Amino acid sequence: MSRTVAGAAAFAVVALVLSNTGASAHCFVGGRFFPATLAIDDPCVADELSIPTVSWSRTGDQPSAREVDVSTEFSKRITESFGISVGPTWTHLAQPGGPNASGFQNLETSFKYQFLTVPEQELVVSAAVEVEWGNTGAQGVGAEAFTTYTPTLFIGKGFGGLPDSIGWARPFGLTAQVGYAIPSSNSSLTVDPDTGDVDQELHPRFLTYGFSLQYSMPYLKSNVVDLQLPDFVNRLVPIVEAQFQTPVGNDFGLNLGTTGTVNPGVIWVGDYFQVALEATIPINRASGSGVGVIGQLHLYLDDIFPRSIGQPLIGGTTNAGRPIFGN
Amino acid sequence: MRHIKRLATYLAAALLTLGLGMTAAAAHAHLDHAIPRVGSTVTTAPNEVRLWFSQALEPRFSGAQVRSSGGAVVGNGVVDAADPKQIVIRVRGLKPGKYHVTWKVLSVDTHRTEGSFNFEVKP
Repeated sequence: MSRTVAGAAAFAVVALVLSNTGASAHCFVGGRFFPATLAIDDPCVADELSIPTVSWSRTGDQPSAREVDVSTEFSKRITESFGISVGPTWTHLAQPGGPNASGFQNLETSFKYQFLTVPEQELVVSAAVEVEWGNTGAQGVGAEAFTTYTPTLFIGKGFGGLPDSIGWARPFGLTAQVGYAIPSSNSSLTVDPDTGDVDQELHPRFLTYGFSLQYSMPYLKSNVVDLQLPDFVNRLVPIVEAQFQTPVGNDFGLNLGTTGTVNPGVIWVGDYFQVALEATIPINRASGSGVGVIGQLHLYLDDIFPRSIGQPLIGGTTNAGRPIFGN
Repeated sequence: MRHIKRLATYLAAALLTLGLGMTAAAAHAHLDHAIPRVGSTVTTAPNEVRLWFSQALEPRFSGAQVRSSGGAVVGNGVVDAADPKQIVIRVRGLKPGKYHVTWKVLSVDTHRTEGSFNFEVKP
């Protein structure tokens, strides 16, 4: 325990030093703010910290195990439009009639480039390579021994340009992502300790995709109509997320199908952080058993540390310029 | 169980650290409210449009503009010298019709935000 305290103290010191040394934004595109989402990633690069994200669900195994995941994710901009993120996840599995298992999943990192931002159209597009590093987690909770690379495309679009006749729909925003998960090896060999038989396990390639449809009450109040609702309500973003995985290669005879969840929920957006709560509804039995839940506390580091860790490492000085409105 | 304790300790340390660092923070400037209200219809033509923001603004890098439905500029706004959280746009003699307000601001901690809304004058 003393080692843990010492480690935590060292972490705190390093974080505090970083917060006092370093160059701004979570996902603002024109008048639109896309909050951080839980099932998929938002389409921007940012200085953010999710600490923690906690989920509870029942797995798609027969019979189902109860699964609790606790994860963190730290995202840091290197330049204004390029950022990295790293996220460990700890998993606890309670299997009916069997031993429980706990441990970390493989470490996940992401390298993202926000290459298109059109404020007038509330449009943003990013590309990333996400890497799940093999052999960095516990195999008892399902961490694989191979690395998986997932090139992914992200898009965010707000509907603020809709005509006055359907002004109520302007607060709607859509984000989506699509990726292709490529394992570092096509298969692995396992030896049955009892029989000595050698089995070949295929590592399928997956298409990973998802979307979020969100209705921004902050956008409604600031850009469409101020209904003078309570401040708490004006900060809500009702949302439906969905995420899926479909095997598309190297899955011969495995009889795998599409799995995923649909997550209705709500995000409360503050000045420095946001809180999100969603239900996770499996789309089929292979995706899980029954409704789960996921919650997240998400910190906006660019607002908390605007002149240090919340700035990009390179080119962090914001050059705003005088706003130009034309004549 | 040991993992849970370790994770909780790290989370507590991180939150404490962030708490220490938040004391001097300022966030993005959001439009808190406006007069005339966002999306409203007023029966008397206003002499000014006033915007209230959630954070203090940098006067040199913040501004707002009101246009008529025909696109003509009817007023440009600047940060109120008496209150850096406000922008005031003088708009005398507005005729009945719809007006579009656009704002772009820089908060004192260098965060940029922007937005727009309509209001209508209908005696």
